[in-house]
Amino acid sequence: MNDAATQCITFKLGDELFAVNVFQVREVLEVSQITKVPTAPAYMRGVVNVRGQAIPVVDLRLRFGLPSIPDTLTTRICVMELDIDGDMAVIGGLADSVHEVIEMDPANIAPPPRIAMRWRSDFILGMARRGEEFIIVLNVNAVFSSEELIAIGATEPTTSIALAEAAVA
Amino acid sequence: MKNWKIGTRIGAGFGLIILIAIAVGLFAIAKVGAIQKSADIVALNALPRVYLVGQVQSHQLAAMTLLLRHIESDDKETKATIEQELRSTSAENTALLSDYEKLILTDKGRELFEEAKAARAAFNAYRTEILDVSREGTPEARKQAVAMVETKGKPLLDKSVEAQNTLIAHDKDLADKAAAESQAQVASTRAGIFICLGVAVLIAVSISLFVVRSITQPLAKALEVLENVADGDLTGTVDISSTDEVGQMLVAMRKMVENVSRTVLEITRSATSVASGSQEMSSTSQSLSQGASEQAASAEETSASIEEMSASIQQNSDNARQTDKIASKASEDARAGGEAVGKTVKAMKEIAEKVTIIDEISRKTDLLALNAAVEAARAGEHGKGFAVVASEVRKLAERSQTAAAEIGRLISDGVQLADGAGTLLGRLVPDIQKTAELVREIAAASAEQSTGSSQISKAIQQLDQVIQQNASAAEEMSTGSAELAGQAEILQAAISFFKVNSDMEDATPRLRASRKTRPGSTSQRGANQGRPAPRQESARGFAAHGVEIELGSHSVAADRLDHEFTTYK
Repeated sequence: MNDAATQCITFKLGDELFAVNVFQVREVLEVSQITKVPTAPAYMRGVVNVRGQAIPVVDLRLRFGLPSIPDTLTTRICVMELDIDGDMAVIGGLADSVHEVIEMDPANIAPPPRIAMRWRSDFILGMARRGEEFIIVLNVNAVFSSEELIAIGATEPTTSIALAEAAVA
Repeated sequence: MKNWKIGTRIGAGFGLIILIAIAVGLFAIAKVGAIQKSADIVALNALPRVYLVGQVQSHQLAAMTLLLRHIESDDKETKATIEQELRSTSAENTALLSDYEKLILTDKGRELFEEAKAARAAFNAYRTEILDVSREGTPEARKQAVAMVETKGKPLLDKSVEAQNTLIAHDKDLADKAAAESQAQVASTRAGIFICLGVAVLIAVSISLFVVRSITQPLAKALEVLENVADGDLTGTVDISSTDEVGQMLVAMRKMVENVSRTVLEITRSATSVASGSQEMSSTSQSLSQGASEQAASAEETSASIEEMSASIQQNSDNARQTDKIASKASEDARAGGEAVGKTVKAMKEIAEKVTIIDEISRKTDLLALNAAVEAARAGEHGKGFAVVASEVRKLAERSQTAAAEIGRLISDGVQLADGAGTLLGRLVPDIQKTAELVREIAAASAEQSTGSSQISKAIQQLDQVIQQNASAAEEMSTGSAELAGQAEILQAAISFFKVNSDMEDATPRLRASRKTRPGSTSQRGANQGRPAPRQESARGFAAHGVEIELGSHSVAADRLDHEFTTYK
């Protein structure tokens, strides 16, 4: 619930359209070689090399309780910057498709209904309506907890050695 | 007796006659024996006795002469000779008398014989005395002798002679009696023989009449029956009244009549059925003939059809060969097409690859544009122009992506089509090859068909020949059946000569109802062929044609009368 119009980037998971604040998205990548990390939790796919930096990739579907599906041509990795207690964590989330940058009028964002929610309501900032479809505005900060972030080594800017150490630990 | 065999009867009759003859003969023999006896008495007894006595008598008389000579003679030698002679004569007489004695039959005869013998002995004794006296030779002796002779000698001689004469008379009487007896016996024999002959003749005649009648009557009956049969009347009954040869003959005749009747009936039936059968045959052969000509026509048609078939087969063959060529060419073309399609597909795939590159580029561009938009958005106010640029770029990328997608779709469609075409072509090749193979088979089959159709053609020709033969055979059969019908008619006419018992006939009606008239029967045999017989006329009363006269040595019905007719060629 921002005051001014926010620009969000929309992506799809399954049939649901999600939006994330553009400031929270660094870039969008194609799915390239994901290096698997052995002892990672299930929702962590692995790490991806972005210009020398290793970014952990998380399967958002699993995170949201959806079954994992194989990657398609439209699958993208949203490199997101999370603010966790003042620390910045970079994490990549697998989206089925990333669409566009849109302007979101805060007036359009309605609070999420409490009943029959598939996801935890703290994830969701609200729901916006755009034409016929509903966009679920995500609060990425709430999607991952700090422990989880540490577990997956998503703090910024870690080198691969540190990640490897974390992984071994 | 009527059941005796004829031989037995005749034998018995003859036997009886023989017996009678034997009886007559025996009778005659007996009588003749008696006559013989009487005749013997005369010839062997009385006559020789008379002769003997006569001889003795003559000897005695001669002896008297000798005695007188002796007396007269002076010569001693002469006297001796005369004495010798006298002695021999006396001896002779003695012999004669002893012979006579053997022939004596009756006591009376013996008595007379003894008397004669005694008389002779008396004379001989006195003769001896005289001789004794005469032997002296003296004239006194002589005179004495003569006186002796005159006084006693001659009377003694006369007495002897008389005794002999009595004997002779007795013997003659014996002879006469025997002769009379023999005459009587001859007469009685003759009479007896006549009687016996008469009786024998009567008996023989009656026997023979009886036997003959017993033979001829049945024979007459048999003859009657035979004549009836000869005239064709088989309806009479044969009475059999005896079991002798004639009876057996009658039995056999009855059987013959029955069998002939049956045979005649069968022949009549057969003739009828032959007649009808031959008519049927005639019509059948006509229809055969017709059928044969129809067959010939259809064989012609078949032949023509076969010709057409041959032509079309030939055409098939040619077409098949052509098709084979075309098919192999098409196969080649298809293969080439397949290769071309393959190349096309390869090219298309290359294009697709390139298009994927373009697509990738456009995607990446889109991504970059998106990222740019993100950066622009984060840049805030400063990034607005950049955002516009980014969105434009994004649109371009979108367009390019769409185009690439479309190209890709087209390519994939095209690839699909090409693949499909390739598959089709690929499938075409074996299909074409299969077609070529089938066509080759068709060509081979056509060749076989061709040979087959030529064989059929030949067979049709042969069939045509056979049909021709059949047609001519049907013609012959038609003629033959007409002849058969004619023969059947003749047969029926001939067999109608016989009239049989109606209870032996079955229900089969006779085609010819002709009846034989008896008066004309006897002359039929030879005249049948020579002139139109009334029988034939009546028989052919229903026939359409007239009378048939069969003359000529070659004809089956020729006989010896035919040559009496002159043939004019």
